[in-house]
Parts: sequence; structure tokens; C-alpha cells
Amino acid sequence: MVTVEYDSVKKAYGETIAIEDIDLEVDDGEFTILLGPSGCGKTTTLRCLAGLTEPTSGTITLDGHDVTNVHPKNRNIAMVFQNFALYPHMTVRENIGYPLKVADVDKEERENRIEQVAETLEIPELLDRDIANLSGGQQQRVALGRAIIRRPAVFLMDEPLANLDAKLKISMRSRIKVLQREMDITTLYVTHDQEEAMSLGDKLVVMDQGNIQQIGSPDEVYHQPVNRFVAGFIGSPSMNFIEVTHSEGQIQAVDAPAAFDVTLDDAVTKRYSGTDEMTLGVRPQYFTIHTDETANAVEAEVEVTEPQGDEQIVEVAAGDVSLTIVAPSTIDTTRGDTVWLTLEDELVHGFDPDTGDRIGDPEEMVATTRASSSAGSKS
Amino acid sequence: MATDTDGETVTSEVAQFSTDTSSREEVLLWVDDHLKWLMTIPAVLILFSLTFYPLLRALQFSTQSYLPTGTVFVGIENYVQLLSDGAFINSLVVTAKFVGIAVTLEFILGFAMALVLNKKIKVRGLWQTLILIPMILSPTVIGLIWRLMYAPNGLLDYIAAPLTGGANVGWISETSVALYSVILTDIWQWTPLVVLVLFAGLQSVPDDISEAAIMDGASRRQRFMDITLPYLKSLIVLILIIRLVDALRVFAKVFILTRGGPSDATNVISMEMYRTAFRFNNFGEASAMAVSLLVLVLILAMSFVNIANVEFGS
Repeated sequence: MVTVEYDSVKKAYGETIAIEDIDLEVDDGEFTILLGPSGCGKTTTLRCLAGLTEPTSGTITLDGHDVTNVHPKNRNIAMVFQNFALYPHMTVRENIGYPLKVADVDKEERENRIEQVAETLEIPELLDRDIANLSGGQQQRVALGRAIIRRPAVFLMDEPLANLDAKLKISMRSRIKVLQREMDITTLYVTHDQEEAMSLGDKLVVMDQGNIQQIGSPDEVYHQPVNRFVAGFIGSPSMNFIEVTHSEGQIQAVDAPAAFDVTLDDAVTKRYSGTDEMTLGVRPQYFTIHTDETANAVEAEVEVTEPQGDEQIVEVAAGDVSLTIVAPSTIDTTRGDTVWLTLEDELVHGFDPDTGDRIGDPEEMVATTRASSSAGSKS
Repeated sequence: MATDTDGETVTSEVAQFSTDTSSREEVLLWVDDHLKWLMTIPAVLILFSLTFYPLLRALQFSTQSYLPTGTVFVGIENYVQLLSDGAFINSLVVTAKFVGIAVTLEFILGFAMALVLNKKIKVRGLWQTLILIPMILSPTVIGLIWRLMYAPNGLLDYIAAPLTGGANVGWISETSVALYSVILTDIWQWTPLVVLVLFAGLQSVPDDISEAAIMDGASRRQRFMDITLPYLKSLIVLILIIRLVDALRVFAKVFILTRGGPSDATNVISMEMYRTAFRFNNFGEASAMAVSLLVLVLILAMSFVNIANVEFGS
């Protein structure tokens, strides 16, 4: 049973603040992802737990024990680095066995454990090879092996897949997930790749500018982003943001009042009652493209289409508003065509134009989201 | 046919063109083509006249005997002579002591200082600069400075007074002390080079590898033995060879400090060589010493590289 808790952790380098105020709880065995753009402080957050970076203030506890000032080697935490950080002068066997060697585990036991780990990672044939002769994926497995051989209390991974090619990334991703489930070790994983984050994590911690923006399940951060940053960061292609005026369910884009003028259904209207101006957020997947004129739709002109196989990304312009839409590849449109876009009302988001915070009751959102997704799966 | 005619026309045009080219332009073109080789001529000449030529001459001298009536070819007799030459044997022993003690201490001290510098110490830049000073002084200047400090009632006698009760140590005049004084000077001069090279090496150890070792639970000592040392292996071999070869040839410092004395206590090989050649005018034997020293240095350096490779098992 190992839980991790950050309490008001701050790290500053002189004037530069790397992380401002981190409060975070990670449950035993939970796979937590720290997600955010470069420089958001996610790696610093991880390194504070590892003990490689000393927080300026705040405390970090492992299972209720304050470890803020405990030496890294006494924390029983294993870490996988982005560049693998394997020992170049040692063989694969020596690399994997190193944590046991320094812990004075006797040779026989050590060899057994090395063999076991190599079996788990399917690399027994590599054991006596030199590190320099391994491919990126093989090095990655060795790095994982070195981390798991000790059966640590907590597992830290700092962008472990960033240096792998796209195909390998996906296969390693599932391997890591399986490994984490089987070993049931509390894990903190840093990445800037939201797709990776969504597919791996039990819990996503979205960070920006040294602060946590939102903590939640992959579903929650995707469907109920608490602010415009999270909404824009999660999801690919990015969410469309449109400055709109609102009155009694009628919304009009500020930059294209004639083209973008739609009526929301009653349930959604209730969510935004009392709001005159807001930033409307609509994911590219939640527009539907019609090639014939449709009622209550946004009229737009196709600028460019990008075929993606099953689907296509369509860039359109409604007046001065540019929108990105994901549509089935069966829809046949080309540059210059006029199309009509309808919104899936219940899946739009409203944000305060000044603060970027979400408008509308999240509770209600969950309900609608659940309802719509279960309805979708039944159909 | 048409092609043939065309071809002929072209050829004759080329011929025409080349006869039109003045000889000056031809020279310029040639120079342009061969410029890279021309540029190396001065360096090659200097290298040849200062290194290869003397070496070949030394080889030649070492097979000759110098008599008032002229030179006589004596084959390997000079080399045979060396084996029974007490002064030469003594100089070998002195040199071995000098090299062994000086290089070992320079390495240990230098490594220690490099490790300290590698920590996040204050005003590191200042320390780096200060440490480099001895290395950039000429050996002659160093010899003169230290001779002043070693002089009876000089600075070092003054510093050592609490231990010696005010008596002069005779730093460079006492048989049992003189060699160690010369060694001390050499350490002062050359430890900085070791610091410089190993510090650069330490800086090149990637942070994440050290951090990985920390996370793996390695203690400070284990990280040093398992990560840092193997990482610096080739640099360590390099600096040891550089210092070994250089220390074997030490001359200026000894010449200025002690001239090989007192009673041959600091008479290193190159000092003995100098004496044999220029005081006893025995160029034959001196050259034989020079050639022997060269062979010795080569053997040492090469075996050192081999041993290092085997030991570290790369």
C-alpha cells in the first residue's frame, strides 16, 4: 500500500518558478499521468518526488511518511528516464541487475531475478549484449527492466516513449500498461502527448505554467474540461473556440453573426442562462457536415480537406471564423464548396471570455455526457 | 561523320584555348589545385628538421665513437657500455623514482581537485583560473622561482621552521631531500593539467546517468566506482600516458634546481645524457641513452594502453 501526497509543493530557481503550488494525491496502485506542454512543470513535479530536485517549500509524503528531505536512494522509488540513461559500459544483464548489485543481493538471487525480468520483458536473448548494440525499443525495455527488478514502492517515468518511433510507441504503451496493472505499483508518468496520457492513465493531472489545471479521469478531462486551457490541450485536433454572444439560447459568433447563428436546445440553454458573452468550445468531432442546406446550421465554405483514411479533417470558414471539423471520409467536399454544420448541442462547452473558466454546472454536464455516450453505444 | 567532325572541332578549340593560356595562369591554376599540399610544406619541413632528422642522427651517433682523430663506427658497443655504466644505471633508478612518485601523486591530487571543482562550489571560475597558472609558466621560470624558495633561509625553510626548529632543511642541497623537492616542483607544475583533463571528463558524464544510479540506490562510492571511473577510463589512460612520457624526459627543472646533484641524487636520464654529451663529449654513449629512452617510453606507453584495455575489459 503506497500512496503519494504532494502538499503545497513549490520549486523556484531564483526568480523563475518551475512549479508554483502543487497539491496532489495518488492512490495505491494508481496510474497517474502528469500531462502538459513543455515547461509546464510536470518533470519538476516528478523529480521532486524522486528526490532529484529539492522543493523550495511544501512537503511530499509517501504512505504518510514525510520524505521531502529523504535521500533519493532511501525512498524506494524507481525511475525511467526519457533518454533511458543506461550505463553504456555495462551489458544488458549488468544494467538490469545494477539496483540489486548495489543493494548487495547475492549473486544467485540476482541472476534469477534478472532472468525473470528479462522473461517478462521478452528480452532474454539480449542479456549479454552491449548497450550500444541495442535499438531504441530494446534500450527502452532494458530501462524498464532496471526499474522493475527492485519491485519499487513507486514507479516514475519521465516521457519514456518520447524517443521511440510512432509504431513502437504504441506497442510499448500497451506493454507498460499491462506491466503496471500486473505489478500493481503506484505510478507517476510524465508526458506531453495527450493521446498517450488518455490511453494509459487512471488519473490525468493536466498542468500548465507550474500549476495543476485539472485532475480527473481521462473521460472527465476530455468531456468536462474545467477551463479553456484544458479544453484546448486535450483532444486532437484541438477544440474550436468561437467568441459568441448569447441570448435565450440563440448564439451568434462575434466575428460572423450572419453565418454562425444557431439556436441551442432547451437543456443546454439552461446551462448558459444569464451569460451574454462567452467563448464557445466545440470539438471537431461534434460538428456534423451537411452538403445540403440544413436548418439551424452554420453556413461555411470549405478551405481545405485532409484525408485521414476512415475520416477526414475539414477546415472551413464561416465568415471570419475558421473551424476545424472531423468528418467521415464518405462526405465528398472540396475546396470552395459551401457546407452546413450542425452542432451536437449537449457536447458544446462554454468558457468565460476573460478568465477562461468553464461556465455551466459540471454535474449536469456529466449526466448529459453519460446519457449521450450510453445512448450512442446502444444505437 | 558529323559527330566526328564536331569532336575534332572541339578538340582543336581546346588545344587553341590551352596555347592561348599564358604560363603565368597555368602556374596559378596548378597552385590552386595543390594549395593544400603547399600549405603543409613549412610544417613538414619544421617537423622533419626538428624531429626526424635529429632522431636519425641520434641513431647514427649512437653507433659511433668520438675520438680526437675523428669518428669511428663501433656498432652496438655504446649500448653494451651503458649496461655497465654506474652513472647511467643510477640515473635510471632516479628517473623511475621521480616518475613513479610524481605521476602517482599528480594523478591522485589532480583527480581529487577535479572532483572538488565538479561540485557546485562558489567562484568555480576563479579556482579554475588559479589552478591553471603553474601550467602556463615555462619550466625555466618555475625552476628559478622554486630555487629561490628552496634556497637556505628561503621561503620554504621559513615555513618549515616550526617543524625543523629553525634549522635549514637543505631542500636541494641535501642528498636525501633533493629528489623529493624536485618532485614537489613537478607536482606543483603538472597537477593542474590532470585537473583540467579530468574535470572536463567529469563534466561530460551525463546527468541522467548519474541520476539513474542515484535512483538505483547506489551510494556515492558505488557511483564513483561503477559510473564515473569507467566513464573516465580513456581520459585517465590518456592523461597518465601524457604525464608518464613527459616526466620521463624531465630536464629543465632538474637542470636549474640541482644540475643532477647533490652527488647524483637527482641525476635523471636526460640530465645524465646532457652530461655525457656536453661535459664528457661522449656523443656516442649519450645518443645511445637517448635512443634507449625513446624505446623505453614507447614500450611503457604501448603496454600501458594494453593493460588499461584489458583491465577495464571494454
